[in-house]
Amino acid sequence: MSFKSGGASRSLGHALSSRSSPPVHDGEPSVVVDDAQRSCWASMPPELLRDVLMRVEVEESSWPARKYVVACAGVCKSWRGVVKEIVMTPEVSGRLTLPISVKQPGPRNFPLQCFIRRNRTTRTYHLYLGLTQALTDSGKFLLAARKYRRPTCSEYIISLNADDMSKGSGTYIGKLRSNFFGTRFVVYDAQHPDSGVTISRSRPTRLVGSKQIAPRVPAGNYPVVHIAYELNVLGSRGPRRIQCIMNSIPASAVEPGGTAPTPTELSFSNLDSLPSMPFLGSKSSWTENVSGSLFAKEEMLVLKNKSPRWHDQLQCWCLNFRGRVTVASVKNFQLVASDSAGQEQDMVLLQFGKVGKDLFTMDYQYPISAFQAFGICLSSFDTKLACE
Amino acid sequence: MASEAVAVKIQEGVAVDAVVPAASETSAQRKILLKSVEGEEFLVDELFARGSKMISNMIDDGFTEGAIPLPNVTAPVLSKVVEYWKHHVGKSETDKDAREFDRAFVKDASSSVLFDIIMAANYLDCKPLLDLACQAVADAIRDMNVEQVRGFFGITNDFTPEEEAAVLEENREWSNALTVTGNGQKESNEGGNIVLP
Repeated sequence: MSFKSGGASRSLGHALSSRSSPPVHDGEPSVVVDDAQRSCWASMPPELLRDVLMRVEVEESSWPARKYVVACAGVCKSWRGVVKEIVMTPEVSGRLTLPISVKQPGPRNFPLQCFIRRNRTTRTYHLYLGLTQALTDSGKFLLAARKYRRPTCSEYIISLNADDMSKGSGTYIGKLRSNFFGTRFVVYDAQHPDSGVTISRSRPTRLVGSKQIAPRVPAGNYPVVHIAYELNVLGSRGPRRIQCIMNSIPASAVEPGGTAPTPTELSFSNLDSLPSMPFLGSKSSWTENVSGSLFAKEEMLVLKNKSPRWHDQLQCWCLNFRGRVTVASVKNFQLVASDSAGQEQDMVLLQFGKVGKDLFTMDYQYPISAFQAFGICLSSFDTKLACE
Repeated sequence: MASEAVAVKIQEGVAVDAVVPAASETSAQRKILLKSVEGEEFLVDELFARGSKMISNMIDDGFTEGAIPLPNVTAPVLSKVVEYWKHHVGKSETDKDAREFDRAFVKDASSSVLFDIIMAANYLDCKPLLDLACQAVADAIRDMNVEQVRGFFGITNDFTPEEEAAVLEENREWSNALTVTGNGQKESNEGGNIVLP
């Protein structure tokens, strides 16, 4: 049935009880419903509700139509549970649907192609999911960040709201903070990476709504990525070296059968009310080394940038960006997993590079999330190491 | 098998005296008696009645005497279901008449009738009809926003205030901060491989 003007093909006619034409437009008061209708749909068995919602999800598979799947998730608790089951995580479906998906690992076998637009005047950065094959034709907004300069560091406040990146914004979801020299950065997540983990059901065929446990972790800013920039042996004449310690992702995540933390529910918070947590996890999972730094006992995933090769003919350093980066820049990089022995994996997990004056592409995949990827890319804008 | 004279109500509402056929008659002529929850009886060709897997199984299990009771289905709904069977059973999937019937079937159905048909098709185990009705509902709600969906289904919002605030944010900001045209500025591809000049 069409509630919009001009809609024609799918029509349930005017036979809805107690309704009369004209059609209702988006945002107008809802349909008048009689009591008989009200009670009957509420008793629809979950498997039939699932059948209906799956049909909606299949039809509205890409943005902007995907917003109607999001709408179904906002109807009531049981609908939300069904929709979350159906849409699955980006790791499995390759799609971003609900806002929490920006904090969930990307697809396993291919990257999600996004782009970042920089605004130098307002010192803001906007991340979009690419919707077409063209590099930066059109996109679905994902995250925004604004840079704040402080006496001893820079801070980028990251928000789900394209326009509101203030510290008091209710859509604050994390931040990036640099050290004084702009060589080390920390990405902070406003919620614990394991928050709202769904427990698996013992009866997989019966849908009784998602059961969620919120682990007893206090609200706070959790450090999830530690980023370090270094000059390489050639100093500023060579590409800089980047190392990212993914505090929330175990090294086993990139091994066969490995998994990465996948939060299931987003919590919005106000930056001012969140304390900074010194480390992730409980104290028992950390140990102090000789210089007093804290290290997690379980090995964390470490990412390093893929070393470019010197191209004699072109007289420059080259990386194969597969057409996704078109402008030479010191900011461009590709990150791969590196184990404790320094062995690098082949698969590029995060790629970032310039395609226009203030336009950059960002491609990320499992086990990294859009939020973490965005934070890492922001640091690339900020670091003072090496001149451009 | 003794035959009995019973009064049955056919689709058109005309009561006639009919004879329940003996089981020894061929299935092409055999008719099955179905009884709705109100006690109304429908005489239906066995061929059509087998449009329901549940009924089909009952027939195969030897249920041939008297009426098959369907306590979960009302007479108006059952009459619609029988109509559906008449247009579909024994026909190919691409039959034009059947598709035309389907279009009209859902077009004139009110949302509460659609609900009844879904429940009946589910109970009677008639998958094609269930698919048709579920798809009609999905088509209806596909382009609706949250309020409209709640109104259509008569669903009460049971979110906590915090959850409701998050839902609003989701639907207002996340869903609608959408498609943005890039500046279309694509510089020439210098081999796509350059890191540093």
